Amino acid sequence: MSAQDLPIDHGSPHDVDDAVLLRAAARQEPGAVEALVARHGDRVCGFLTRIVHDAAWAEDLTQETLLRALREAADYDARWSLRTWLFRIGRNLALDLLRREQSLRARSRAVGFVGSAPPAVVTAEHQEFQQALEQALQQLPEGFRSVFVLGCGENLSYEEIAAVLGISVKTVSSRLHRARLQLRTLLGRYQR
Amino acid sequence: MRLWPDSPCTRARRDASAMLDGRLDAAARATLQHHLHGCPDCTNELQQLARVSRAMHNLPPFRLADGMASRLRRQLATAPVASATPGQNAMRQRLDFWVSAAAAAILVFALGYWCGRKGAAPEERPAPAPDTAVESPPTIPPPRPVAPSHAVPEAAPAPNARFANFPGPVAPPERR
Repeated sequence: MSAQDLPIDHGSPHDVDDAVLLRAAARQEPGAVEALVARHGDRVCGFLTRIVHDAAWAEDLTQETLLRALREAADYDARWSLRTWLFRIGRNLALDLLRREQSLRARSRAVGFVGSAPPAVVTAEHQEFQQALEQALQQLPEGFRSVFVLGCGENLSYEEIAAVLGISVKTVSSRLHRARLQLRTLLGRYQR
Repeated sequence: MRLWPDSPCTRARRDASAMLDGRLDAAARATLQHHLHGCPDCTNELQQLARVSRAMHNLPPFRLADGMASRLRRQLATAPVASATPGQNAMRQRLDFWVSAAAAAILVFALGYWCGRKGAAPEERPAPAPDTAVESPPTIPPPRPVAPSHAVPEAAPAPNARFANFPGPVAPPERR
């Protein structure tokens, strides 16, 4: 029996490698699906929320992303991190959804922060700046927004971002710089 | 091609993001830092870009609502995962490709054969009387339209003088 085939319940699911965890979850071994959701669910949901700007949509997309990853676990290329792969699946699903729902801008549902953990100490000014940043993010073109969220929010490398979005590393660098410049302009009131 | 080299400020602002992301090589970083020491405008610009990035990094994390894992389990139970290994998946894709290619080739061949038959049909009229064929001079064969190769059976006649004046379908030999 290879290491990849070891049942997940022989140890803590939280200690195993992502690829092993994914396969175990696909086989529905005890605790594996829960561990996968705990390890990646929040990050995937956060990223998708910033793409579709709707908490309920993002949660549905996260579920669909994880489900698709489990069903296509055999296709996972372990050269990339599992998170990169999940972001890629999720973004494709999100873009499909946005294409279907052209009325995104017309929707009045606000981004839901229900359940998100606030920082330990948050001043009113800081909170206002964070809300302004969330709103400014929505004014960026999707390609710039995804690069910025993945690069500065998720700390993915340029190479990983390029893999998620299917663009070149040079384009990542250029978009990241332009996203920063646009956000700086949009948040000019808060920049001192 | 640029007529004028970039000013130090233009270069510094272009490299600012790369510096924040740690993508600048040592020489470029040293040049930028040297410039920043003497340029408050570029220093301010870099600080603003850094603040935007830091703010993004410090946004509160999202938390999924409870129950995601159990919903996933339910969905997996209704349509279980195919137990394919990575190799099996690639093999299945290759097999699908070759089956599709073979089906397309058969279709093209059948279509070509059918078109060829339709095109050749008027030429397969009743052959001239066998006696005329036999009496024609053997050295000057009458021109015979060439049928498409796929309409000809495998035992197509070779360009042989013996068969050059053969008029068409097999005719009974003339009795003397």
